[in-house]
Amino acid sequence: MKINCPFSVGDLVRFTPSTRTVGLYQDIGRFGLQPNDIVVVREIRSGMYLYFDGGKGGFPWNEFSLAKLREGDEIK
Amino acid sequence: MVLDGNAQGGLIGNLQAGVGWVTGALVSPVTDDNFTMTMMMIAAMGVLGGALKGVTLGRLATTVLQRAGSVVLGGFGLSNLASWWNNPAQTTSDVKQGSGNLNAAFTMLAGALILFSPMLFKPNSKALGPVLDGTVVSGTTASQVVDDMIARMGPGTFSTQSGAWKVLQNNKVWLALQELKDGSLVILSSEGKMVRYVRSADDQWVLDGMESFTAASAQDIVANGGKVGFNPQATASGPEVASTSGTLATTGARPPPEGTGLREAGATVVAAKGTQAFRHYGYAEDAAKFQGGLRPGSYATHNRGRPMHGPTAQNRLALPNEAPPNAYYKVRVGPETPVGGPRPVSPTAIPPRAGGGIEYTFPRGTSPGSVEGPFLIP
Repeated sequence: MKINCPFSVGDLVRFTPSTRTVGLYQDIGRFGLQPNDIVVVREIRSGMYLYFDGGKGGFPWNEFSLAKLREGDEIK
Repeated sequence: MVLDGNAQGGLIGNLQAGVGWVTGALVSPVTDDNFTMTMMMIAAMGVLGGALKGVTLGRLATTVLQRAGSVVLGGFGLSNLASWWNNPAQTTSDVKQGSGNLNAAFTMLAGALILFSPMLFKPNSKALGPVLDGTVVSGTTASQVVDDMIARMGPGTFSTQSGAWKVLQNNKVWLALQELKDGSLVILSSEGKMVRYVRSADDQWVLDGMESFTAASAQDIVANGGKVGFNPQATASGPEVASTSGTLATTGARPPPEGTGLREAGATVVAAKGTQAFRHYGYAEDAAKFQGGLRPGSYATHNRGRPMHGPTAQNRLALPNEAPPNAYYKVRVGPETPVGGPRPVSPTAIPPRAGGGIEYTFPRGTSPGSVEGPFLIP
Protein backbone atom coordinates (compact mmCIF):
# COMPACT_ATOMS: atom_id res chain seq x y z
CA MET A 1 0.00 0.00 0.00
CA LYS A 2 1.45 3.31 -1.03
CA ILE A 3 1.26 6.07 1.52
CA ASN A 4 1.50 9.54 0.12
CA CYS A 5 4.06 11.92 1.47
CA PRO A 6 2.41 13.96 4.23
CA PHE A 7 4.75 16.89 3.73
CA SER A 8 4.65 19.67 1.21
CA VAL A 9 7.28 21.92 -0.22
CA GLY A 10 7.80 24.70 2.28
CA ASP A 11 7.12 22.58 5.35
CA LEU A 12 9.67 22.64 8.12
CA VAL A 13 10.73 19.09 9.00
CA ARG A 14 13.06 17.50 11.48
CA PHE A 15 15.44 14.78 10.32
CA THR A 16 14.70 11.81 12.59
CA PRO A 17 16.33 8.81 10.92
CA SER A 18 15.95 5.32 12.33
CA THR A 19 18.88 3.68 14.07
CA ARG A 20 19.23 1.34 11.13
CA THR A 21 19.35 4.21 8.65
CA VAL A 22 22.09 5.89 10.66
CA GLY A 23 24.01 2.61 10.80
CA LEU A 24 23.78 1.98 7.10
CA TYR A 25 25.89 5.02 6.27
CA GLN A 26 29.38 5.61 7.55
CA ASP A 27 28.71 9.34 7.61
CA ILE A 28 25.10 10.25 7.29
CA GLY A 29 26.17 13.88 7.29
CA ARG A 30 27.41 13.39 3.76
CA PHE A 31 23.85 14.04 2.65
CA GLY A 32 23.97 17.46 4.25
CA LEU A 33 21.86 16.55 7.25
CA GLN A 34 22.47 15.47 10.80
CA PRO A 35 19.86 13.84 12.98
CA ASN A 36 17.52 16.42 14.53
CA ASP A 37 18.38 19.04 11.94
CA ILE A 38 15.36 21.15 11.05
CA VAL A 39 15.13 22.08 7.40
CA VAL A 40 12.67 23.46 4.91
CA VAL A 41 11.45 21.07 2.25
CA ARG A 42 12.40 22.45 -1.14
CA GLU A 43 11.61 19.51 -3.41
CA ILE A 44 9.86 16.14 -3.19
CA ARG A 45 11.05 13.64 -5.77
CA SER A 46 9.16 10.53 -6.78
CA GLY A 47 6.57 11.48 -4.22
CA MET A 48 8.77 10.44 -1.31
CA TYR A 49 12.37 11.69 -1.34
CA LEU A 50 12.81 15.03 0.39
CA TYR A 51 15.40 17.54 -0.74
CA PHE A 52 16.47 20.75 0.85
CA ASP A 53 18.59 23.78 0.06
CA GLY A 54 21.72 22.98 -1.88
CA GLY A 55 20.45 19.61 -3.05
CA LYS A 56 20.82 18.15 0.40
CA GLY A 57 18.72 15.22 1.53
CA GLY A 58 17.45 12.35 -0.58
CA PHE A 59 15.91 10.43 2.29
CA PRO A 60 12.29 9.33 2.17
CA TRP A 61 9.70 11.29 4.09
CA ASN A 62 9.33 8.64 6.78
CA GLU A 63 12.77 9.58 8.10
CA PHE A 64 11.41 13.01 9.02
CA SER A 65 8.88 14.43 11.37
CA LEU A 66 6.95 17.64 10.98
CA ALA A 67 8.40 20.66 12.76
CA LYS A 68 6.21 23.38 11.32
CA LEU A 69 3.75 23.67 8.46
CA ARG A 70 4.45 26.13 5.74
CA GLU A 71 2.70 29.47 6.05
CA GLY A 72 -1.03 29.27 5.38
CA ASP A 73 -1.36 25.48 5.81
CA GLU A 74 -3.22 23.74 8.56
CA ILE A 75 -2.96 20.28 9.96
CA LYS A 76 -5.84 18.26 8.52
CA MET B 1 22.90 -30.18 -28.38
CA VAL B 2 22.87 -31.45 -24.85
CA LEU B 3 20.28 -33.96 -23.81
CA ASP B 4 18.89 -34.10 -20.34
CA GLY B 5 18.20 -37.36 -18.54
CA ASN B 6 14.70 -37.78 -19.90
CA ALA B 7 15.70 -37.11 -23.47
CA GLN B 8 18.53 -39.59 -23.11
CA GLY B 9 16.18 -42.21 -21.74
CA GLY B 10 13.69 -41.61 -24.48
CA LEU B 11 16.35 -41.66 -27.16
CA ILE B 12 17.88 -44.88 -25.94
CA GLY B 13 14.47 -46.50 -25.57
CA ASN B 14 13.38 -45.41 -29.01
CA LEU B 15 16.66 -46.51 -30.50
CA GLN B 16 16.27 -49.89 -28.89
CA ALA B 17 12.71 -50.11 -30.11
CA GLY B 18 13.66 -49.04 -33.61
CA VAL B 19 16.43 -51.59 -33.87
CA GLY B 20 14.06 -54.26 -32.63
CA TRP B 21 11.39 -53.36 -35.14
CA VAL B 22 13.81 -53.08 -38.05
CA THR B 23 15.54 -56.35 -37.37
CA GLY B 24 12.23 -58.04 -36.71
CA ALA B 25 10.86 -56.81 -40.01
CA LEU B 26 14.00 -57.79 -41.87
CA VAL B 27 14.12 -61.33 -40.63
CA SER B 28 10.43 -62.08 -40.50
CA PRO B 29 10.11 -63.14 -44.14
CA VAL B 30 12.92 -65.63 -43.88
CA THR B 31 12.99 -66.87 -40.31
CA ASP B 32 10.67 -68.80 -38.14
CA ASP B 33 7.84 -67.30 -36.14
CA ASN B 34 9.52 -67.73 -32.77
CA PHE B 35 12.44 -65.54 -33.75
CA THR B 36 10.17 -62.88 -35.13
CA MET B 37 8.08 -62.94 -31.98
CA THR B 38 11.20 -62.58 -29.86
CA MET B 39 12.31 -59.56 -31.79
CA MET B 40 8.91 -58.00 -31.39
CA MET B 41 9.09 -58.56 -27.68
CA ILE B 42 12.48 -56.90 -27.59
CA ALA B 43 11.07 -53.98 -29.48
CA ALA B 44 8.17 -53.75 -27.05
CA MET B 45 10.61 -53.88 -24.18
CA GLY B 46 12.47 -50.99 -25.70
CA VAL B 47 9.32 -48.94 -26.09
CA LEU B 48 8.29 -49.75 -22.55
CA GLY B 49 11.70 -48.92 -21.19
CA GLY B 50 11.81 -45.62 -22.99
CA ALA B 51 8.33 -44.72 -21.84
CA LEU B 52 8.88 -45.71 -18.24
CA LYS B 53 12.11 -43.76 -18.16
CA GLY B 54 10.14 -40.64 -18.62
CA VAL B 55 7.02 -41.47 -16.67
CA THR B 56 6.72 -43.56 -13.60
CA LEU B 57 8.98 -46.27 -12.34
CA GLY B 58 12.12 -44.25 -12.13
CA ARG B 59 15.71 -44.95 -12.72
CA LEU B 60 16.16 -48.43 -11.33
CA ALA B 61 13.27 -50.10 -13.14
CA THR B 62 14.03 -48.53 -16.46
CA THR B 63 17.69 -49.34 -16.14
CA VAL B 64 16.90 -52.97 -15.49
CA LEU B 65 14.59 -53.05 -18.49
CA GLN B 66 17.12 -51.42 -20.73
CA ARG B 67 19.94 -53.62 -19.60
CA ALA B 68 17.80 -56.70 -19.96
CA GLY B 69 16.84 -55.64 -23.43
CA SER B 70 20.43 -55.02 -24.37
CA VAL B 71 21.50 -58.41 -23.08
CA VAL B 72 18.83 -60.15 -25.12
CA LEU B 73 19.64 -58.11 -28.18
CA GLY B 74 23.33 -58.70 -27.83
CA GLY B 75 22.77 -62.38 -27.20
CA PHE B 76 20.76 -62.76 -30.37
CA GLY B 77 23.37 -60.96 -32.35
CA LEU B 78 26.16 -63.13 -31.06
CA SER B 79 24.10 -66.24 -31.56
CA ASN B 80 23.30 -65.37 -35.15
CA LEU B 81 26.84 -64.43 -35.92
CA ALA B 82 28.22 -67.58 -34.33
CA SER B 83 25.72 -69.72 -36.13
CA TRP B 84 26.59 -68.21 -39.48
CA TRP B 85 30.31 -68.36 -38.74
CA ASN B 86 30.23 -72.03 -37.74
CA ASN B 87 27.98 -73.23 -40.47
CA PRO B 88 27.26 -70.78 -43.26
CA ALA B 89 25.89 -73.62 -45.31
CA GLN B 90 22.92 -74.04 -42.99
CA THR B 91 21.19 -71.18 -44.69
CA THR B 92 19.39 -72.09 -47.83
CA SER B 93 19.32 -68.72 -49.48
CA ASP B 94 21.56 -65.70 -49.80
CA VAL B 95 18.71 -63.51 -48.61
CA LYS B 96 18.38 -65.36 -45.37
CA GLN B 97 22.13 -65.30 -44.78
CA GLY B 98 22.29 -61.62 -45.52
CA SER B 99 19.42 -60.90 -43.19
CA GLY B 100 21.08 -62.90 -40.47
CA ASN B 101 24.28 -60.94 -40.81
CA LEU B 102 22.41 -57.66 -40.85
CA ASN B 103 20.44 -58.74 -37.83
CA ALA B 104 23.66 -59.59 -36.02
CA ALA B 105 25.19 -56.24 -36.84
CA PHE B 106 22.09 -54.29 -35.76
CA THR B 107 21.58 -56.14 -32.56
CA MET B 108 25.20 -55.99 -31.52
CA LEU B 109 25.31 -52.30 -32.28
CA ALA B 110 22.17 -51.73 -30.28
CA GLY B 111 23.48 -53.80 -27.41
CA ALA B 112 26.74 -51.89 -27.39
CA LEU B 113 24.98 -48.53 -27.55
CA ILE B 114 22.73 -49.38 -24.67
CA LEU B 115 25.34 -51.11 -22.54
CA PHE B 116 27.74 -48.24 -22.93
CA SER B 117 25.12 -45.53 -22.92
CA PRO B 118 26.40 -44.00 -19.69
CA MET B 119 29.66 -43.32 -21.47
CA LEU B 120 28.06 -42.18 -24.69
CA PHE B 121 25.48 -40.02 -23.00
CA LYS B 122 26.97 -38.45 -19.95
CA PRO B 123 24.52 -37.33 -17.30
CA ASN B 124 23.57 -33.82 -18.08
CA SER B 125 24.52 -31.53 -15.23
CA LYS B 126 23.37 -28.66 -17.42
CA ALA B 127 19.91 -29.56 -16.30
CA LEU B 128 20.86 -27.95 -13.01
CA GLY B 129 21.95 -24.78 -14.72
CA PRO B 130 18.87 -22.73 -13.93
CA VAL B 131 19.19 -23.68 -10.29
CA LEU B 132 22.89 -23.17 -9.90
CA ASP B 133 23.21 -20.10 -12.06
CA GLY B 134 21.08 -18.00 -9.79
CA THR B 135 17.60 -18.35 -11.14
CA VAL B 136 15.05 -17.76 -8.45
CA VAL B 137 13.82 -21.05 -7.08
CA SER B 138 10.10 -21.41 -6.63
CA GLY B 139 8.37 -22.18 -3.39
CA THR B 140 7.84 -20.55 -0.06
CA THR B 141 8.79 -23.56 2.03
CA ALA B 142 11.72 -25.93 1.92
CA SER B 143 9.49 -28.77 0.77
CA GLN B 144 8.20 -26.64 -2.07
CA VAL B 145 11.75 -25.88 -3.07
CA VAL B 146 12.45 -29.60 -3.10
CA ASP B 147 9.42 -30.13 -5.32
CA ASP B 148 10.70 -27.42 -7.60
CA MET B 149 14.09 -29.08 -7.72
CA ILE B 150 12.48 -32.39 -8.61
CA ALA B 151 10.56 -30.68 -11.38
CA ARG B 152 13.76 -29.19 -12.70
CA MET B 153 15.62 -32.48 -12.54
CA GLY B 154 12.88 -34.40 -14.30
CA PRO B 155 10.43 -37.14 -13.49
CA GLY B 156 13.16 -39.75 -13.21
CA THR B 157 14.31 -38.11 -9.98
CA PHE B 158 14.14 -39.95 -6.70
CA SER B 159 14.92 -38.67 -3.28
CA THR B 160 16.45 -40.03 -0.12
CA GLN B 161 17.34 -38.66 3.28
CA SER B 162 20.86 -38.65 4.65
CA GLY B 163 21.13 -37.02 8.02
CA ALA B 164 20.16 -33.41 7.60
CA TRP B 165 20.37 -33.69 3.84
CA LYS B 166 17.54 -34.25 1.47
CA VAL B 167 19.17 -35.87 -1.52
CA LEU B 168 17.63 -35.76 -4.98
CA GLN B 169 19.14 -37.89 -7.67
CA ASN B 170 18.52 -38.33 -11.34
CA ASN B 171 20.93 -40.75 -12.98
CA LYS B 172 24.34 -39.47 -11.85
CA VAL B 173 23.20 -35.93 -11.25
CA TRP B 174 22.29 -35.19 -7.68
CA LEU B 175 21.43 -32.35 -5.37
CA ALA B 176 21.56 -32.34 -1.60
CA LEU B 177 19.57 -29.73 0.28
CA GLN B 178 19.75 -28.67 3.86
CA GLU B 179 17.78 -25.93 5.59
CA LEU B 180 19.95 -23.94 7.95
CA LYS B 181 18.88 -22.50 11.25
CA ASP B 182 18.38 -19.04 9.83
CA GLY B 183 15.94 -20.42 7.29
CA SER B 184 18.31 -20.27 4.35
CA LEU B 185 18.90 -23.27 2.13
CA VAL B 186 22.27 -24.76 1.28
CA ILE B 187 22.44 -26.93 -1.80
CA LEU B 188 25.33 -29.16 -2.77
CA SER B 189 25.48 -30.50 -6.29
CA SER B 190 27.28 -33.27 -8.07
CA GLU B 191 28.98 -30.74 -10.30
CA GLY B 192 30.95 -29.39 -7.37
CA LYS B 193 28.92 -26.38 -6.36
CA MET B 194 27.63 -25.28 -3.02
CA VAL B 195 25.04 -22.56 -3.18
CA ARG B 196 22.94 -20.86 -0.60
CA TYR B 197 19.49 -19.43 -1.08
CA VAL B 198 17.73 -16.97 1.15
CA ARG B 199 14.13 -15.87 1.15
CA SER B 200 13.48 -12.69 -0.76
CA ALA B 201 10.86 -10.10 0.04
CA ASP B 202 8.43 -11.64 -2.42
CA ASP B 203 8.62 -15.02 -0.72
CA GLN B 204 10.96 -16.66 -3.14
CA TRP B 205 14.37 -18.19 -2.75
CA VAL B 206 17.13 -16.10 -4.21
CA LEU B 207 20.72 -17.11 -4.74
CA ASP B 208 22.80 -15.60 -1.97
CA GLY B 209 26.18 -17.16 -2.49
CA MET B 210 28.08 -19.85 -4.34
CA GLU B 211 31.27 -21.72 -3.66
CA SER B 212 33.08 -24.44 -5.53
CA PHE B 213 34.57 -27.55 -4.03
CA THR B 214 35.39 -31.08 -5.04
CA ALA B 215 32.50 -33.39 -5.71
CA ALA B 216 34.21 -36.06 -3.60
CA SER B 217 34.20 -33.92 -0.48
CA ALA B 218 30.53 -33.16 -1.01
CA GLN B 219 29.74 -36.84 -1.35
CA ASP B 220 31.51 -37.54 1.90
CA ILE B 221 29.52 -34.88 3.68
CA VAL B 222 26.22 -36.05 2.32
CA ALA B 223 27.02 -39.71 2.90
CA ASN B 224 27.87 -38.99 6.51
CA GLY B 225 24.81 -36.84 6.99
CA GLY B 226 27.03 -33.98 8.02
CA LYS B 227 26.15 -30.35 8.32
CA VAL B 228 27.86 -27.64 6.47
CA GLY B 229 28.21 -23.91 6.70
CA PHE B 230 29.86 -21.18 4.78
CA ASN B 231 31.67 -20.36 7.96
CA PRO B 232 32.08 -23.54 9.99
CA GLN B 233 33.79 -21.67 12.80
CA ALA B 234 31.18 -19.04 13.37
CA THR B 235 27.63 -19.98 12.62
CA ALA B 236 25.93 -22.50 10.44
CA SER B 237 25.19 -19.71 8.03
CA GLY B 238 27.75 -17.09 8.85
CA PRO B 239 30.12 -15.31 6.55
CA GLU B 240 33.01 -17.13 5.07
CA VAL B 241 36.16 -17.32 7.09
CA ALA B 242 38.96 -15.64 5.25
CA SER B 243 41.55 -18.04 6.52
CA THR B 244 39.85 -21.20 5.29
CA SER B 245 41.01 -22.89 2.14
CA GLY B 246 37.57 -23.18 0.67
CA THR B 247 37.00 -26.77 1.63
CA LEU B 248 33.88 -27.72 3.47
CA ALA B 249 33.75 -28.70 7.05
CA THR B 250 31.68 -31.66 8.09
CA THR B 251 30.72 -30.23 11.43
CA GLY B 252 28.46 -27.28 11.67
CA ALA B 253 29.34 -24.40 13.88
CA ARG B 254 27.22 -23.69 16.90
CA PRO B 255 25.60 -20.43 17.82
CA PRO B 256 26.83 -18.88 21.01
CA PRO B 257 25.19 -20.26 24.10
CA GLU B 258 22.55 -18.30 25.93
CA GLY B 259 23.80 -16.12 28.71
CA THR B 260 27.21 -15.50 27.26
CA GLY B 261 26.48 -11.85 26.71
CA LEU B 262 26.82 -12.31 23.00
CA ARG B 263 23.21 -11.64 22.17
CA GLU B 264 22.05 -8.19 21.35
CA ALA B 265 18.89 -6.58 20.06
CA GLY B 266 17.26 -9.90 19.49
CA ALA B 267 19.92 -11.04 17.09
CA THR B 268 22.63 -13.52 17.71
CA VAL B 269 26.00 -11.90 18.10
CA VAL B 270 28.77 -14.29 17.37
CA ALA B 271 32.39 -14.18 18.30
CA ALA B 272 34.25 -15.79 15.46
CA LYS B 273 37.44 -17.71 16.02
CA GLY B 274 38.83 -16.74 12.67
CA THR B 275 38.96 -13.59 10.65
CA GLN B 276 35.66 -12.74 9.07
CA ALA B 277 35.23 -10.72 5.92
CA PHE B 278 32.32 -8.51 4.94
CA ARG B 279 31.38 -5.81 2.47
CA HIS B 280 30.06 -2.41 3.35
CA TYR B 281 28.35 -0.60 0.50
CA GLY B 282 28.85 3.14 0.48
CA TYR B 283 30.43 5.93 -1.45
CA ALA B 284 33.92 6.20 -2.85
CA GLU B 285 34.14 9.85 -1.84
CA ASP B 286 33.94 8.84 1.83
CA ALA B 287 37.10 6.71 1.82
CA ALA B 288 38.86 8.89 4.37
CA LYS B 289 36.02 8.40 6.83
CA PHE B 290 36.68 4.66 7.00
CA GLN B 291 40.24 4.89 8.26
CA GLY B 292 39.10 4.50 11.84
CA GLY B 293 37.00 1.47 10.97
CA LEU B 294 33.24 1.19 10.84
CA ARG B 295 31.36 3.24 13.38
CA PRO B 296 29.49 1.51 16.22
CA GLY B 297 26.11 0.39 15.00
CA SER B 298 27.26 0.04 11.41
CA TYR B 299 25.95 -2.50 8.95
CA ALA B 300 27.61 -4.67 6.35
CA THR B 301 26.80 -7.69 4.27
CA HIS B 302 28.70 -10.86 3.45
CA ASN B 303 31.53 -10.86 0.94
CA ARG B 304 30.60 -13.92 -1.06
CA GLY B 305 30.11 -13.92 -4.79
CA ARG B 306 30.47 -10.99 -7.07
CA PRO B 307 29.84 -7.55 -5.62
CA MET B 308 26.44 -6.13 -6.32
CA HIS B 309 25.84 -3.15 -8.56
CA GLY B 310 24.85 0.02 -6.78
CA PRO B 311 21.11 -0.08 -7.46
CA THR B 312 21.02 -3.78 -6.63
CA ALA B 313 22.76 -3.21 -3.32
CA GLN B 314 20.40 -0.34 -2.60
CA ASN B 315 17.42 -2.58 -3.26
CA ARG B 316 18.56 -5.80 -1.55
CA LEU B 317 20.07 -4.09 1.46
CA ALA B 318 17.15 -1.64 1.70
CA LEU B 319 19.33 1.46 1.70
CA PRO B 320 16.86 4.33 2.09
CA ASN B 321 18.63 7.25 0.43
CA GLU B 322 17.79 7.87 -3.19
CA ALA B 323 21.46 7.87 -4.17
CA PRO B 324 22.64 4.29 -4.70
CA PRO B 325 26.12 3.37 -3.45
CA ASN B 326 28.93 3.70 -5.94
CA ALA B 327 31.52 1.60 -4.12
CA TYR B 328 32.01 -1.07 -1.54
CA TYR B 329 34.58 -1.50 1.17
CA LYS B 330 36.05 -4.75 2.43
CA VAL B 331 35.83 -5.15 6.17
CA ARG B 332 37.86 -7.73 8.05
CA VAL B 333 37.39 -8.31 11.72
CA GLY B 334 38.97 -10.65 14.19
CA PRO B 335 37.44 -12.60 17.03
CA GLU B 336 37.59 -9.58 19.31
CA THR B 337 34.92 -7.80 17.27
CA PRO B 338 31.30 -8.62 18.08
CA VAL B 339 29.22 -9.21 15.01
CA GLY B 340 25.44 -9.38 14.91
CA GLY B 341 23.62 -11.50 12.42
CA PRO B 342 23.31 -12.76 9.85
CA ARG B 343 19.79 -11.54 9.28
CA PRO B 344 17.77 -11.29 6.11
CA VAL B 345 17.10 -7.71 5.14
CA SER B 346 13.42 -6.88 5.46
CA PRO B 347 11.66 -5.16 2.61
CA THR B 348 10.49 -1.60 2.98
CA ALA B 349 7.49 0.11 1.47
CA ILE B 350 8.88 3.63 1.84
CA PRO B 351 11.06 3.76 -0.07
CA PRO B 352 10.18 0.63 -2.07
CA ARG B 353 13.03 -1.82 -1.49
CA ALA B 354 12.79 -5.56 -1.99
CA GLY B 355 15.30 -6.45 0.70
CA GLY B 356 16.30 -10.09 0.76
CA GLY B 357 19.98 -9.45 1.23
CA ILE B 358 21.94 -10.48 4.29
CA GLU B 359 22.99 -8.00 6.90
CA TYR B 360 25.39 -8.02 9.82
CA THR B 361 25.78 -5.39 12.45
CA PHE B 362 28.79 -4.21 14.38
CA PRO B 363 27.47 -2.91 17.67
CA ARG B 364 30.90 -1.73 18.72
CA GLY B 365 32.16 -0.88 15.26
CA THR B 366 35.38 -2.24 13.86
CA SER B 367 38.97 -1.45 14.62
CA PRO B 368 41.08 1.10 12.73
CA GLY B 369 42.57 -0.38 9.59
CA SER B 370 39.87 -3.02 9.30
CA VAL B 371 38.36 -1.38 6.22
CA GLU B 372 39.91 -1.58 2.78
CA GLY B 373 38.74 0.25 -0.28
CA PRO B 374 36.89 1.82 -1.94
CA PHE B 375 36.18 -0.60 -4.78
CA LEU B 376 34.05 1.06 -7.40
CA ILE B 377 30.87 -0.59 -8.60
CA PRO B 378 28.63 0.32 -11.54
